[in-house]
Amino acid sequence: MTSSITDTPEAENASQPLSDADPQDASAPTAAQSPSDKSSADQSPADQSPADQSYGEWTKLSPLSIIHFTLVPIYKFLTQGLQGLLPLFAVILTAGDKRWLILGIIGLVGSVLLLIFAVLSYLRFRFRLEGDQVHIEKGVLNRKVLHLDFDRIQSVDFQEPLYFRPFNLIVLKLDSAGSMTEEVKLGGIKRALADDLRKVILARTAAKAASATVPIAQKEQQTKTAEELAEETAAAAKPLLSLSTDELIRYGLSNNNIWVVTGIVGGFLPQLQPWEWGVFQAIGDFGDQNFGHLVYGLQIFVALICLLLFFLLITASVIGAIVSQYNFKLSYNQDGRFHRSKGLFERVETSVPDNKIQSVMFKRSWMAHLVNRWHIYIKQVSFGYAQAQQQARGGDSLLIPSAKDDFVTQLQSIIYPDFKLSDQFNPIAKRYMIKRLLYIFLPIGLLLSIPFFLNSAIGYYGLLWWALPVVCAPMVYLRWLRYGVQLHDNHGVIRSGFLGKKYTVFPLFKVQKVSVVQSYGQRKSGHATLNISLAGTRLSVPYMDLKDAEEWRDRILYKVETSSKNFM
Amino acid sequence: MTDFINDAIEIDTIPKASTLSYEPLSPKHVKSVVIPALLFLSIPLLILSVLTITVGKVTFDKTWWFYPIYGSIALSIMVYTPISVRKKGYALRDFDIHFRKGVIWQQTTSLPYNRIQHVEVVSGPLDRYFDLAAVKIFTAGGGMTDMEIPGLENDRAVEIRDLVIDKAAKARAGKLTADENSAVDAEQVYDTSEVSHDQ
Repeated sequence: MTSSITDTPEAENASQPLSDADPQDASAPTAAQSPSDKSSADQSPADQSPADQSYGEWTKLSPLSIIHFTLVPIYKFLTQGLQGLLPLFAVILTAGDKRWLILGIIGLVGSVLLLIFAVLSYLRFRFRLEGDQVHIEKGVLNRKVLHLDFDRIQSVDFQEPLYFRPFNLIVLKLDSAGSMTEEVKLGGIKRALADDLRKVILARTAAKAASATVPIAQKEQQTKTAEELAEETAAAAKPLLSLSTDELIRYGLSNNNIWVVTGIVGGFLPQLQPWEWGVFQAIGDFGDQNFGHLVYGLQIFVALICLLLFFLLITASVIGAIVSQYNFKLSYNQDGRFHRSKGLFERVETSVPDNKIQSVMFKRSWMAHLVNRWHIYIKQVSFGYAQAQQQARGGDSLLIPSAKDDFVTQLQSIIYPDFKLSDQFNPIAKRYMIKRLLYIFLPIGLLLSIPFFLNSAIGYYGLLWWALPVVCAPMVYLRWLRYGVQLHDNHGVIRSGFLGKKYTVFPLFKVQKVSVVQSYGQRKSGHATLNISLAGTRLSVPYMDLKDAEEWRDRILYKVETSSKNFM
Repeated sequence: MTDFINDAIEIDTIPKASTLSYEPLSPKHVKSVVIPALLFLSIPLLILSVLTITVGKVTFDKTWWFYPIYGSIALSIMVYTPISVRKKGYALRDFDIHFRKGVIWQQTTSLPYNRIQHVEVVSGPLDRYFDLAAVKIFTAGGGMTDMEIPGLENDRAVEIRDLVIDKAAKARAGKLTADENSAVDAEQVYDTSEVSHDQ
């Protein structure tokens, strides 16, 4: 028994604003193309935009999109499907003399099928603009009909992969709120067409957003058409930030990804097959032979190898940063849109209307502190299931990899004009430290000391684990120090961190859900944990004073409920 | 110099969520939680008993300790569940809905109507036997349920769903006002003078 709010586009399916037609409907493709749909004369003047005249008709992608349709499945297969087929390859490789033949046949058949599939994908793909929606029909085996409201579009991306560059073709990607299953991509259209589409889509979104905040009396005076708006604002783009390669190197050096990769490699090592250990054996033997006779020779050798690996990782991170963020340019349109372009091999341009921004996170890891830069994440809407995939792709946030202090201030004043960050952060209760040490580190220490009681051969060293809370106390103190909050009239700021720090600024009216949690001890001492959910981010502050947490909750609810603005 | 009056948003005039009075869940909810739990728990117990009686190797003197453990688990379920259900409650205001739960960790979640994307009424198989249902509310925050009010009488669940959807639609259209009346409202007890922090 599902009931939805009927005046929103999500009404058809739970959390799915895109409506997918059943495969059964595909048997009657004419259902979607009744002649009356195509004629723009049927639309009321209010719906009509100049683009409708050109794009109201079904349009196909460029024939070169076949390249795109060939390469994308290969890429997907390599990144996702390969693990599944590795056993198959293993079997084939051990099949004796015939194995190359078998592999060859499989390769050939696979390529032919892929090519057929790509050509069919191109033939079956078409799109158009209708009213306030983008209509797309695609699919070879499963025919899909997608209708996407302009309103739901959070950002417009241009992707220019290497193989499209010589032809001046673009992959137009529309990020939509709530799309869990379908990515909306036009894979291979001429740049001019892409520019036009983006103008129309964003102008419409901006116009709607602007009109949503204008009091009713003034709405009647709005006479500008979407086209006029688009033209006005295209000329008014103001460049904000342009990152040189030097800045990207700083980002590569200060990026937490290094540790992530280290973690992955570290986790991967134990899984190596015995024959791969031979490499490590060889290294070990080498070290032993040449340095083993020196005092601590072997240890130093191992340490040097580790340093070398670390250095390699840093280099990889820097190279990755340069490739993905190359020639980073950020500009701001007077109409309220951020444009970001970046990328070395694949050039990506993203447009994000600023009313779609849910929150902004300013991060400064300890390494970033060393190079004196901030990493900024402009966060948009994201929904649960798609989130994991999006994180893998680099997130639903717009990343500004390397920003100086004054740019941070400048960006805040653009996105949140009526907000000014205060120097003063309100701390959380000191009790937080005691509780963490007492309820987390002490039990861990006690647990780790159990072997001493079971096996007396360990000696009294086993009891040293009891000192774990003491040893960890400085770290817990640091974490406590980083926690801080600011409650402004219309914005909230929540800061946290450990060695580095990060703080998130968000307008109160964009909050989705607030919850206040109290443990038994906190009920006695008058503290609480505050959890704030935005559309795609969850913020949490432990050990606030209960009164403060309640004040946050009441103020947030008040702002959300009295705001007439759309949060997305 | 003229007096410069700059009234901040007076904290005192903003409604306080802490003074809400929470509606309890249906008492039948306790049974609808305990019974499936005990049934589920009894499966291993049954298997063990059958094995003990039939198979020679599995003797009572080796496995006796199983039964008290199971007994205490069952007992704690029967003791804990009523407490846990008693601690749950929901409250509807003009512009938002709240749900409170938790025995050791007490959590109060607040959802403004104008952030609600959709609402579901869900009944598990045993719920239907007791004529109970749960209300699940979703916001734009994620694919998972943002608020779940279990153990409601089916009629009440439907009422709440309809009310919330109605309020949410009005709120999004900018037409929600404080003097909305509805059938459910009339039955709600809004006693803002009561402080409802249970211990």
